Amino acid sequence: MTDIAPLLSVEGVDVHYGRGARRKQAIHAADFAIAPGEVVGLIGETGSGKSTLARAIIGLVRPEAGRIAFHEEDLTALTPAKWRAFRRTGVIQYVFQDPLRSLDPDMTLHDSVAEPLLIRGGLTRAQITEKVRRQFGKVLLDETLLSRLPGQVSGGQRQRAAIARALLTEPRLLILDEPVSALDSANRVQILELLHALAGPDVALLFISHDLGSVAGITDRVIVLYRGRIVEVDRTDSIINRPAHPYTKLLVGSAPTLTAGGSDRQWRDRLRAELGAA
Amino acid sequence: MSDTVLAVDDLTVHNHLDDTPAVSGVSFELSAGEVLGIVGESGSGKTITCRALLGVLPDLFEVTGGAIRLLGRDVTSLTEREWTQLRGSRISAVFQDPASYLNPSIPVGKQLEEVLRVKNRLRRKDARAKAMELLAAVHIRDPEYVYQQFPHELSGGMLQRVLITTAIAPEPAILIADEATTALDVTVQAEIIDLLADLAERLGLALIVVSHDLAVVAQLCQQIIVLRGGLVVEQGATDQVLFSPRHEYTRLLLEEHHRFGLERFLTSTEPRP
Repeated sequence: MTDIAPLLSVEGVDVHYGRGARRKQAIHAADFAIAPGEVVGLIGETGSGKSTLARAIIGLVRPEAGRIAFHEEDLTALTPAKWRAFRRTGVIQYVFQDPLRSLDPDMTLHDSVAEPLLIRGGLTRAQITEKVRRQFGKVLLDETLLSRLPGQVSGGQRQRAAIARALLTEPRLLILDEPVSALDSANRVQILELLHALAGPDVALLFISHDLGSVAGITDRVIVLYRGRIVEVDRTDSIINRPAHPYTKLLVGSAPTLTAGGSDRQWRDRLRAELGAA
Repeated sequence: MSDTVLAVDDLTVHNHLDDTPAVSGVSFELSAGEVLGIVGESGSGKTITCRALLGVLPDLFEVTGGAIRLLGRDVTSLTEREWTQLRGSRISAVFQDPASYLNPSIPVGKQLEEVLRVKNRLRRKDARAKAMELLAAVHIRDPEYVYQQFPHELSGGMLQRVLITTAIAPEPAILIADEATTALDVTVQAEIIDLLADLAERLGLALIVVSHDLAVVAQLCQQIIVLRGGLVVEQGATDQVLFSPRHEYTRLLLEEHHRFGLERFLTSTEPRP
């Protein structure tokens, strides 16, 4: 969509799960690109394949067909050793929905956040601690929390620590898998605001969510995934005001808004029938 | 107000565990077919309020003030036996995570049938016919098939449909839906919300919809109560709460939608696509 070389390009990617008779195709010919600094939403229902697609991008599942390139480097061609080296650079980072699972419960927030730097190596302890402190400032976490364990801070604070850790290696792409679904309103607003402020020419964000309504306002573009296929990719305002695919229409029409949606009931029923018949 | 089915006046629930009020000063009236929304986060007292209305407060929680009039009868001092007659029959509820309210080793249809036999005093054969009729009434396309499924064989949305069916089977006047759509996909959430709206209209069921999400409640309700820390911070007609909120906290809840939701893209005068 732009003349700038894409940061990430996904071309004709197929992903399968299982073996023999149980083999199932999770992703069918996925095609999309993310430009440097862009904020993109990857939206789909449970089982649509959005997390599988994200896992393929970070090399946790291997595509059967197609190509995934980061800065024109073909990631699908990397050997396991090259993948490990690529991961150590930390240019692609991943934030999970539940920070209680992604942060080691027995490590202080400082040690958890510092870990990517320890793995990458080349810095002294003091330099690392200094970087961790600065990162805490960026995500608006109080320095007194550095010595706490994940279980001793709130859900919002944990998610901010997870984001601080992801940002520490100065990634060019940050993948966020339902980063605010587990939080209450006040924390959701704060985390979204924080991420909105972080997005810039240096870091692109890929937001994965089942709910377009919860992340629409932060995204430039939206990719809609339905039953393993990308059914629509467009600018967020076009997706919302002029959705083309029946599933996208239902997705937009199902997002709860502050204007009462009761009058849309028959319209939603027609879309459900249309999708059910397909 | 002859059709008032539930009147709550200055309800106070005390938490004896740490000797603090869990909920104070909740008042509202609900008529047949009307929908009330209660919005608040975990710890706001919304679930405690519901449990007080259902007569199932946890140990160490106690209604210490106010009145709850259910179909004209004060229920704050009912015995357990009297509650058993009312609960399910006159006031019922569905919650988040429907699977945990169903027996995993019995087909869901049988469980619905059991409610019909106990609460509606139907005979086995009649109960089965009624169960099929009710499953069809909540827009389940193949009731025969769903009837025979075990809970783990059905999706979360389908299970919630089954639980709603079970809850309305004894034809209660009031249904409480406490975070009933929270764990569901947005499209499935909309299906359940549409179903609840349909039940309120078609059966005159009075609904109390409890959610942490103001927009979910806005889809359905005529009046909204916003709870925080056990206190009512805002209460009024839906339009008034949404478009001229008085409390800072309500504004924060709205702000989230205005900044990060679909609202900023939608032109408010146009119908949805």
